[in-house]
Amino acid sequence: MVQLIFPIVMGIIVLVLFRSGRLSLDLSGVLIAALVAILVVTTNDSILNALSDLLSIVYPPLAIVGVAIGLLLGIVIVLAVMISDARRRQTALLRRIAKVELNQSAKKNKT
Amino acid sequence: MERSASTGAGALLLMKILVFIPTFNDRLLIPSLVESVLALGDQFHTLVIDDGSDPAIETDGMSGSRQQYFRCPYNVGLGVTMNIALDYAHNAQFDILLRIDADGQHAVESLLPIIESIVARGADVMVGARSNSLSFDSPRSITAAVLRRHMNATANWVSGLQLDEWHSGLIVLSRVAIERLHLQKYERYPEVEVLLRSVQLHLKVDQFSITQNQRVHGRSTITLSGGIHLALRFYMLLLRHLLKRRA
Repeated sequence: MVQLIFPIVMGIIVLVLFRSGRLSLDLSGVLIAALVAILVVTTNDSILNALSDLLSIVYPPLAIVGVAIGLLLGIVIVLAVMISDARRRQTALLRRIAKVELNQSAKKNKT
Repeated sequence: MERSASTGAGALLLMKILVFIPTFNDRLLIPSLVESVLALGDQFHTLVIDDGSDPAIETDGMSGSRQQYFRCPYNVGLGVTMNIALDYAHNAQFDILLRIDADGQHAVESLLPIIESIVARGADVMVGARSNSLSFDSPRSITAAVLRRHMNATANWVSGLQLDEWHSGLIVLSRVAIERLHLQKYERYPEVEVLLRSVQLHLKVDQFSITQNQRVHGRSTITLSGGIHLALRFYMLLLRHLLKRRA
């Protein structure tokens, strides 16, 4: 049961943040999926053993660490993509504002 | 105006030239810089973009048919300001876009010769290569000089260009270059990015030797961590260029 504490506590935190609107739908989905994956791996011995065989890990519990690190890296990549995307949209918006303001200013100067 | 029809120094009189001055907290010289640029001739226009200075740059003296000013609500970086300037130059159909620094390091007297040069040589992009930018009077300046030479050599090797200066704030773009480059997006390090994009877009890149003025106020904003970021961005840009070239 102890191994369930981490994913459950993290799951509650994610759900609370999602409910309050501080965490976006896309990000909450990624985090919940990662936590479910950890939960499955930590509670199911057959999956854990199969995974450790696949990864040539002699001591099966270490496979959980591998899965956790893999998920973390995956989340970081998803976050980085989302941040880059947000910056791209923000930049496009600012360019649009600048275009409108400068056009207005040019028209004002002409009249 | 077609570039092919505008060769010769006399053609400058018929051109619409935009001098773009990006600034971030460099406020002292802006009014005199704008005044000096506009005094070069009626074909000269200025666009000052305040990249989120705190407090904002005073705009009291900057109102006229040949002066434009835009303030970014927060610091967005030089790349985005470059994009804004390119958009404006494209929409207002400028023949030349010339970027200079706001700290007075680029002599206004060198603007006409460099524009004449881009027209005479039929180039699309002209870089103001600083002939006196390297100094060896302190360990920091020696490190910077070595790093800059290494970066210049690497960028020349990767791009196939032969430029003495890849980090100059003085860049001149023709109408053709404005049309092609305004469609690209630039990040916080546009000097190298613009040149690499120009190579990708088959624009003719050339250089013009200039003498850099001594900084009269303020100091360089490049810190150690900023320098490391700059170097990282530089190598990432070269990597992207190589990947695009292979694709």
